[in-house]
Amino acid sequence: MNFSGNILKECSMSRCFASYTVEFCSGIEAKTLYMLFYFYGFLGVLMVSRRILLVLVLVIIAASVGGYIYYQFLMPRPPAKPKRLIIAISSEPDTLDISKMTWATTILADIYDTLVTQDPVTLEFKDGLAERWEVSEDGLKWTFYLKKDARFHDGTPVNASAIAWSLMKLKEGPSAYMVDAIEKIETPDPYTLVFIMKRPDANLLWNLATVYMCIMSPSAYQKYGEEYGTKYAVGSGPFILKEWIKGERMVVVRNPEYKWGPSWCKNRGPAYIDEIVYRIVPEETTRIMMFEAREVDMLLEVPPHKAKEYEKNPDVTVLSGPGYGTYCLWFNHEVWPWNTTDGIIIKKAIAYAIDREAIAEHVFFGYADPAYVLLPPVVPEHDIPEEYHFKYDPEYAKKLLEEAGWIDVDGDGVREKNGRKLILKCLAHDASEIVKTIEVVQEQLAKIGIKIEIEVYDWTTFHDKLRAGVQQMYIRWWYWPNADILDWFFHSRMIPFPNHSRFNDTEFDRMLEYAMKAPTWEERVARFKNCHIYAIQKVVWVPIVYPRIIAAFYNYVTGVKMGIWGVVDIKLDWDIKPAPAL
Amino acid sequence: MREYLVKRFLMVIPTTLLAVFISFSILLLTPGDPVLLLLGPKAPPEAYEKLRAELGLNLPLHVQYFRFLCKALTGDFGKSLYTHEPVITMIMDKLPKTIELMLAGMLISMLLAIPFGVISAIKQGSIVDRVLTSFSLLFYATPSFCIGLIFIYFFSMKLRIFPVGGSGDIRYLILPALVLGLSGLALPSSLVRSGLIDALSQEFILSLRARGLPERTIVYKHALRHALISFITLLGLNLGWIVGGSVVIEMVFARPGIGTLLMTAIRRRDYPVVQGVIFMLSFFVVIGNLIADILYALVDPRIRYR
Repeated sequence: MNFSGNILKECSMSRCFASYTVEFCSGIEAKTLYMLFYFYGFLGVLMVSRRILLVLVLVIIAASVGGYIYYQFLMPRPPAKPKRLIIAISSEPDTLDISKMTWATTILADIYDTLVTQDPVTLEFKDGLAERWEVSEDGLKWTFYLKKDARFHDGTPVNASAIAWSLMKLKEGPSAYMVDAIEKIETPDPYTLVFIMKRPDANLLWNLATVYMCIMSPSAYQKYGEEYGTKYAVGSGPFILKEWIKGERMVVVRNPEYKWGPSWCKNRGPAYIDEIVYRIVPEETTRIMMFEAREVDMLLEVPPHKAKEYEKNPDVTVLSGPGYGTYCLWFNHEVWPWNTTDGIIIKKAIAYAIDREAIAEHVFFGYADPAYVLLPPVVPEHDIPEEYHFKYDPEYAKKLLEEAGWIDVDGDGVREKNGRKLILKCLAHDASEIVKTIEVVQEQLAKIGIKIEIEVYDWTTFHDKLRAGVQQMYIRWWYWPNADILDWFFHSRMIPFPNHSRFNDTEFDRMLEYAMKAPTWEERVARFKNCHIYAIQKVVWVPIVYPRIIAAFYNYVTGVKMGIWGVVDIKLDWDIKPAPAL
Repeated sequence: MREYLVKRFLMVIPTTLLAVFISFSILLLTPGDPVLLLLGPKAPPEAYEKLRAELGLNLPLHVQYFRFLCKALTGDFGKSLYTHEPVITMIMDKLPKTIELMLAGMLISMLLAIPFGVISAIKQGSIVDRVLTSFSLLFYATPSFCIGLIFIYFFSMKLRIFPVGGSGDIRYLILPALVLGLSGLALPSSLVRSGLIDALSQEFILSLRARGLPERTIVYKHALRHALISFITLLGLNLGWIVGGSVVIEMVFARPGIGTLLMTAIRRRDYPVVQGVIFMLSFFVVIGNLIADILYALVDPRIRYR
């Protein structure tokens, strides 16, 4: 505000000086203005008459006192602007009905609560809607004691029967496997839940802490019928769904009644932010431009090359956390060469020929970690002895192939054996980092005499081809922060999907089943570590990198933390300080 | 004239049906299983078969097509596989935004095409003519998404005059409509140019000049009318181009219209939505051509009596 020149030109003796300056200037500017005005006014009037000067001084004093009283006590205050956070996302959920959804979005943690939560830093299981729990020695009975003050957004209480209904509803949909071990849920009183299990499930708490087991309001579910999940969604979370305009935006507003947040949050409710607007912007470039033009405050999916750029921007905070997935090369074990005795040798050679550090540095700009084992660092089963790690050793890779009889006879750079060249078709889907990674891998494998031919498809077609089993080799990224992903992808009962690598190993099946039935979490970790080692020895995958999760937001957004699923979705601690003017 | 109109109206039906049949077949033959996408990979195999039967996706292609057609003729395009909303409701929700964009784009295209074409024709062969022609060809040759991103960079990010994307008041419409209009400028302006050059070389123009009429009156009142005949025809044909262009522009500018709905539905293999949207868009294009033909007949009496 240019107060000195313009204001002095416009000020006149008849104005109420105090309220004028207060209206347009901040405190320090007002004082300076006063001083300047008095000085010039004094000089001017002094030249006219002392009597007039005296009258003028009295008028100024009266006006100042009057203006001060008006400003302090009488002037109507403009209403405070709501704290609105705008986040750009690439796609909206198909549904907010937990029993039907197949993939999670951050908005679920706004609208819903879970029975338990996982501390994003220590990874311990902590309170959610349940304040504490007990498990019997045989693991067949879990008792959860609920918080008594929780309410759904429609005013109905979050009690045992509501939670039991919501969890058993999952048995009807894609997440049925998560509640498969639960025989029934008893409700001896309104705030106690008793899970009677078919078998011990060491993973139960982990499942209950995920958004795939959020608690829905049964009364709202019945009230809205088919429209529940597509137009309405009622939970007990820190935010209430206000609006969902398909293809455009989703808006949630603060739940003023919320005060039962988990104990690991500094603020247990209500949330500081008044409103969150999720703008649905499918094009990555448009999302980035919106962020750079400050039309959105936060990006949850930041490409690595942009993250590098934003790090240099003093107005932007870039948060990156260890990813919970792995970029891998996969093999269809029902086709050549993977269904031959040479298959495992070629897979090993591929594993040792990949320079993971180079890919992490140059494709991901440092926003990925080299993957020497199959499971990412966020899962405890990641930690296995170094002797099982796939390190970069192209000479060893060449030696393995030569010993198996794969020689480049005709000097064209491609090895052959029994007249057959080592040329492999690799399918990829059209994500930018996937294509760049496989191109680098192609070049690295060419150096050891393996030729890769790449075919790129859109995601849906890619999936279809995997299901049909036409692939020889493929690259894809999976993400799931739990070791039971090995069971998901490699147990033979999952052939042809999701076990699209068609890995069929009786011993591995037995080990996986044994691990899934572990009675305690510690025993589960130990058993899955053995599975992990076995999978590495069989080279079921060739791991490449663990891509990091990257979020970027302007510095006026505070309280944001990274967890194992990326940015911590429970936004109770998030706040918005006044944003600076553009 | 009446016979001409009746014949033209009757042609709408088979043209639309053919467009719908082609899109229907291409979609169902494209790889990608909507049932797998709907249920995700974790569902048991019997769940996939059950849903496939419920949605009629296990029926032969021709049976699926005739079922769809019978319902479509009553305005029932079925329900989205994902949201279970009636497709017609989804389309009607998004259609106003797309029509808004299309009309604004066409208006900009027309408003620029006529003066560009006139100036180019009057100053034929001059540097002005070359600049204007190059300008319109540049926008024609450059993909519209590319122009869109450049415009966003300059007008939204650097100059901060317009928002980057989304929908709301008129500010959200100007940039995408400008991109759409400029992308479709080349053909209409060159038609006006060539039509006007042709008209200005006619003998009746010579006689008007001989009578001492001002050049401005000759150009705008007499010659331009002849040039606009083919321009009007192009308006109808251009509608098809504008429809396609608006799909891309909506994605770039994150406008929630039919284009975004269509792209999302294709990605998900949400067949009912794709079929419904293509039916609607085909209908627009056909109606656009019909309007162009009717206007052409009205403007040029020689056409009516053919």
